[in-house]
Amino acid sequence: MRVTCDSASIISSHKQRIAAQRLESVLLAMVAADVAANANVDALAAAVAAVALDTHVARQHMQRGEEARVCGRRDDALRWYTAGVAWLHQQLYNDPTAPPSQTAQLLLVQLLTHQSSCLLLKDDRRGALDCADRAIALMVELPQHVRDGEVERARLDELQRLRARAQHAHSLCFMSDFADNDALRAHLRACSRCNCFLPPADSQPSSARARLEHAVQQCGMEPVATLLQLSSKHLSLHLQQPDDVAPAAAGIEEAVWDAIAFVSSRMHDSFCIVSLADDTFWSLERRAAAQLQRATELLARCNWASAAACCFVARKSLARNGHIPAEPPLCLLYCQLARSLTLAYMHVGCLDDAHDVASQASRALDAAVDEQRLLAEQLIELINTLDESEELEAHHGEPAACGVICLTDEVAAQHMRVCRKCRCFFPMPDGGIPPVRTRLQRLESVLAPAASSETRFEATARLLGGGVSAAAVRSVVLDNETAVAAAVTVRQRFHAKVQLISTVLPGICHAFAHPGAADARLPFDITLLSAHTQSPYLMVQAPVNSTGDLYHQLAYIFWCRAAHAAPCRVVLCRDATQTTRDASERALTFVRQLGLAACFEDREVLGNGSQPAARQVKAETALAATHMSIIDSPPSR
Amino acid sequence: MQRHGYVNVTAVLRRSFSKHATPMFEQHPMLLDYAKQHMKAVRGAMRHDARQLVVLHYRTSHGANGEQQNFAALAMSVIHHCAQAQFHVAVIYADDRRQAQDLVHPSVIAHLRPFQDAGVRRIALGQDLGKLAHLALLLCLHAQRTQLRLAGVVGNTSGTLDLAALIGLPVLNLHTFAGAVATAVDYQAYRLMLQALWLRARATVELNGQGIGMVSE
Repeated sequence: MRVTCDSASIISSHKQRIAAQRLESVLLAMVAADVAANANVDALAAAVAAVALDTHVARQHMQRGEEARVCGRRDDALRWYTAGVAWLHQQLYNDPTAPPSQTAQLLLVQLLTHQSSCLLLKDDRRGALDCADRAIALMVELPQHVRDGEVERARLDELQRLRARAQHAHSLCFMSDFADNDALRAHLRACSRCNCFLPPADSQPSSARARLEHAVQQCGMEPVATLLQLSSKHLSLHLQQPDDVAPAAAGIEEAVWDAIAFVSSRMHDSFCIVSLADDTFWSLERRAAAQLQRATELLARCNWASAAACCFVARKSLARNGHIPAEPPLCLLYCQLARSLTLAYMHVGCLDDAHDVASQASRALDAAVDEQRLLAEQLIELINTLDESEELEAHHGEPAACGVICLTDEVAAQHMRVCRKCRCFFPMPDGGIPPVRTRLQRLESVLAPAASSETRFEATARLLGGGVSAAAVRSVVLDNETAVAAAVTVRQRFHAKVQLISTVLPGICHAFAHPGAADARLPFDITLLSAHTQSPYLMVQAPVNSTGDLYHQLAYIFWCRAAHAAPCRVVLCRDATQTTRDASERALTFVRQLGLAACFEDREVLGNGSQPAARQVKAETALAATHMSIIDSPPSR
Repeated sequence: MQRHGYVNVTAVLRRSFSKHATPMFEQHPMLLDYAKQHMKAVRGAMRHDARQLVVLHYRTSHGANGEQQNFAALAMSVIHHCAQAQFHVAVIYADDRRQAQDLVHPSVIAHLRPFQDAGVRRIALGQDLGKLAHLALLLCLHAQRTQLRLAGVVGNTSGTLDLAALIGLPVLNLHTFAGAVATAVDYQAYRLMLQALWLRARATVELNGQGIGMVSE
């Protein structure tokens, strides 16, 4: 067959696309007849140019979409694909009389495939299904010999998978406990959900949790969390069944809770379990009661995370616009869930959340009667436990240093085995003990950026774990060396072990950074404590305190006690001869009246020590000046 | 403070102060009676309108602390400004050595002298109850803050004012800096810094023609 083309007429044609389509048909015919060698080269070039021109914009859209997708900008990618599809569709079908170009059709299929994939990732399953269906319909329209191409077959397979994923809620089935890997692989082949999500492989892990971990590795947390969100709805479908069917879902339910807890722990977010509360089945009260029972069982098995998930969901479903339900049975149920949730939160270290939950429930039971009274008392007891828990310090996002620096790794290992603050503050990937230098550098990195005295003050207070430690960091603001020197004096005169909490750490860090320069100056033997030292400590303030600072010292002691930490003994400096004698006597009387005399050392300063000028004196001078008397009288009460 | 939150920290401290003072309160019921009686009187004086209450915590010192003494000149200005802003004012005089003169103004509805009115000031016998009476008054103030429509406590740098902040009362601390140009952190400014973590916002205002560093809760 011989074909001739008028290239000029094609190029100048007002309807390039139609001409190109005709040419394309001709070219396809030529290829089919193996007569391409006889074609007019110019005409072929012109036809190709025309076809390229026809799809140029769409190709650009696809390329930009690809770039955005590779960079992780899914929204941008989706916009490019959508725009490309719209443009190409309009080009293809704006003239119903002209048959569509096969090349453009294939390009449209490609764009629709990408668009479907993006929509699926955004959890728009209906949109993804529509796109996949449109693409498949376009493929079906293509001639058989085109569809038989290797690329086209792969494209069709991909579209079928996308369609299946969109249809099957894109969720894991969470079946677990397979006898062996062969059974698992058989299941994966047969299960459309697993097949879509986790194609079977020889190395496929067997448990639901392990598969989930695998999925996280493969897909990242975001899509997996989305899957779980959807899977939780799948769970609710099971729970909607009559009672005799529900037990059959228990295994799946177990796996889902496990997976939810796992994702919650990984994401530090509970959004995926919130969705459970959106589904309505059974009565509200019955569902919450079932969850409470299940949470109790989980708590008994020390499965804190799952118990928390159970209670969280049920409690949220009971809440009316965020408020506790007013009806007595629901209110009681809500508070029982709150108690279980508090316990679970306490065990997983979410102490602030635990406190909030217990406080809210406790307030609701203010006017409690009968069985509610016992619950109210239990909640108050939990709140008191939380208030006084030492974990209040240890489990917060920004860890606090404990203030104990151990010189040798051996001592550090002993200390860190028992000190949770240190384990939080000096995390090591392998769980080992960081060397001394690393620990000091870590501390220094916290303090060093604080340039001004005030910001350093704040940084140190932060490091110490709270505002009430402010009284202990006075020496940092003015002079580190003063504190160290005062510690020397205290040790010599009081024969007591001295713990200079973090206040002198910058100085110590500096000494470590320049060994030799400060060895003679820094009294390491008293500033650094070993892990097993249990001797009483002294906190000395520089400059000497006024009586008004007593309130800060009391706050420090109260906070330490609330955290079950032994407070340093505080040196009270007073002037018994001058005009402020009454004030100092009042301060001493006050600490006796509060029953806290044992927490203070009474230090008498001769001279005009209470006057403003004398308050600036260095503690070492003040402490070295005269004798010291210990408050040894019993509390007045 | 930043980690645990203002509410949690002050709740722990307030409970601790209250718990440790309770045996003395039981032993000397006049302390709580004194506080409740005055709070009732303040509520009575406020019942005619819906104005809020500002407590002026007036601490003067006659020797040891010149900066505290300087506050006397500003106290009337503060009351005047509060009156202009439609607040009731109650004054707590936190000085027991000398009877500070009453700050007389139509907006001042109560004069509270816990260090003197407790009536059992027997320092020589070691039974001075002034600080306990002051503590009882502040705890009562916190407990009844809603009924009293308490806007806050205004005062000058003092440990007694710090106590109000420690137990959770909103405090505005008007601090007088010693020098026009700060060359070093002096002791009184340092005391302000000691309280820094209890204070939320900072600003400098010009009040009555004098430069006043204002640190507000």
